[in-house]
Amino acid sequence: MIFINGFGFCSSDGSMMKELTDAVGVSLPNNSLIKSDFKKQLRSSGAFVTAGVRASEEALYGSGITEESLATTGIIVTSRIGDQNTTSEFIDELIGYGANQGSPLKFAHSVHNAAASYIAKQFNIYGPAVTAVNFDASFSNGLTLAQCWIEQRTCDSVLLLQIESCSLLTRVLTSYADQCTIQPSEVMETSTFADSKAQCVAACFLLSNHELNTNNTMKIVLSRSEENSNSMKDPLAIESPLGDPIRLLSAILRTQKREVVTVAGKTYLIEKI
Amino acid sequence: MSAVVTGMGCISPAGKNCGVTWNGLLGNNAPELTGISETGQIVFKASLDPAYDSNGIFHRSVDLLTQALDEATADAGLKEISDPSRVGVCIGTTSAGFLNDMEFHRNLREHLIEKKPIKSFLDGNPAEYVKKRLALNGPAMTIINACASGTDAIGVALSWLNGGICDIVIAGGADELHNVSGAGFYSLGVTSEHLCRPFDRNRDGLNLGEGAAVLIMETRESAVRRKRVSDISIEGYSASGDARHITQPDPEGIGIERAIRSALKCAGINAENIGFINAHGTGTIHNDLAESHAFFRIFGDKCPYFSTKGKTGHTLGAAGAIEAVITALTLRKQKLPGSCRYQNPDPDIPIQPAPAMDVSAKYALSTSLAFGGCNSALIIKYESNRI
Repeated sequence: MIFINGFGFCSSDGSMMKELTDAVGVSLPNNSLIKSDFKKQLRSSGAFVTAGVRASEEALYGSGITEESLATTGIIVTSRIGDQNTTSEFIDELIGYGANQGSPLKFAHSVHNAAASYIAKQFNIYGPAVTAVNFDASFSNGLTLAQCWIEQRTCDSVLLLQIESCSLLTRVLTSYADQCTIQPSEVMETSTFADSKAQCVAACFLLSNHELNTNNTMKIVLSRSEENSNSMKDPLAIESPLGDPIRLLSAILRTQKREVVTVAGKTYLIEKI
Repeated sequence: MSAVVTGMGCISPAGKNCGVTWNGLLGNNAPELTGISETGQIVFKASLDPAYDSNGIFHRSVDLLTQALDEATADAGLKEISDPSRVGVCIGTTSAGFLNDMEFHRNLREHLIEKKPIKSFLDGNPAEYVKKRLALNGPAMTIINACASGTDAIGVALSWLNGGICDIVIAGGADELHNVSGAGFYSLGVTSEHLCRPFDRNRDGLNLGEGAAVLIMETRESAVRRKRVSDISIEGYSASGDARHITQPDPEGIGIERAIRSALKCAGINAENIGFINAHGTGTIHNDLAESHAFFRIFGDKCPYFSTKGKTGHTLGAAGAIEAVITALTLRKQKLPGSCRYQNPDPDIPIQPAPAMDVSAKYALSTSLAFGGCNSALIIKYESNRI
């Protein structure tokens, strides 16, 4: 049994839970708003990292986690495609200016675990951090690993995220991964395929082996289930490249008592007790 | 919390398989295949068997991975898998996680999308590739944690096995020499136009390399069921973050110290039980300084250590896995290969690496430090009477 002590969803342009909660029909208390200014820290990081940091802050805020516990929290960042945009921008520099003219700042930020690194630095987290990129079951893999870490006492809490980019390049890759048809070569009208400033979205969950904020009137727990999923009402009115985490988040926001949700073929029970 | 290793495979600039790799670590000569990158830096190449060269269908990382995979599965006798849903795959990489085909990006600037590089990228996610190749049905996860990817893939595998998620996990790492990563490391000023010399006073940077390594990890029960006996086991793993800088390690090695101490606790042993350390030892000023300081604080001057990157180069996402295999082979041989081209003690390094020498070791430690402040430590055990 895992406790969901916090959750967050955002896009890199700053729009937060409002879109999702409007779709689900649930209104969040004011503590869902960003309280601190990350802009200076994140100015060089790109949209992928920014989305991850903002979603993490959303999940941590009001969770009741102490600084001491946060220091040993684990971080798992998952993605289907990863941050191809920052890589593409670095490659553009090599093409445009030569192999020895690449920006070290761009290269450093192009590695897929940059987001986990920023999250760790921003929140003073010294626990294990893993970044995984898989077209299939990326979030599900992350959830399984988070459960292992918590159950095996590797860490008491885990920040589990999925981050995706909404750039045209990522949409092309995703559509191909999902076996949609693209032409062998296509002429596109837009001038920018890969842009590290392109909108990115992220969802984050703070999972723990116990309830962190004992002031909460209700705790949310997650466990594996053998029941069939009844989450047919998926309020994905929002166009989002996140699939499984949004499904999980929607179920958390929507359910009054209990709901069974499917994440990459595995069923989980969410209970509010 | 341990897992047995019933099979290993490895290809690196030091050699085309496990046996050749270990012998290739001896002496101070450069690896057989060296080259010069576009930015004028020395790089080390692996000798890929032509039978595994997909000629661009897959990333070279995947070709290297396949060669190591076949050696490992043969070593483990893993021909028929009774329950594919109980076999997982966890592979670390860096290059194979990026769509970094230069020609693709040149065409993209002209608003043209070429299909072949996309297919190569999508079909070449390393863990998903292995899962498909062996018709497996367990979890498949590709870890992209920069230079600690291979070690962390082994750590994830250990978690799965101990959590009852899998009975067998194919774990490892793979990476290739690539113009993009070469240019990237050059831009950071950490590569060398000379042959690298880890921990040496005159070290001036790393040489990039390529390769792959695979370990077949199992629960003891699974190994017994398959009638496989192994003398090597993974006894402990831990990871810790610096939370400090996006590329440079903590200068005092606080993060790697934390990871090592936690791994020792995980393995249920003390520092004095470690017979030797296979260090990350890249040959950069910062890494070698930070790591050696951490070693000294934990082990004093009692534990010999060495770096193999003078022979393998820095193989990035494959490094942790290649070094885990080398650590296991070193335990079997009970002989340290030494650190290639180390000659001049650095007064800032509190304890110097060990030369080639015989040891009597039951446990060994392998360490990895990565961009993003990731630090990972792996403890491997050898029981000679199990064979």
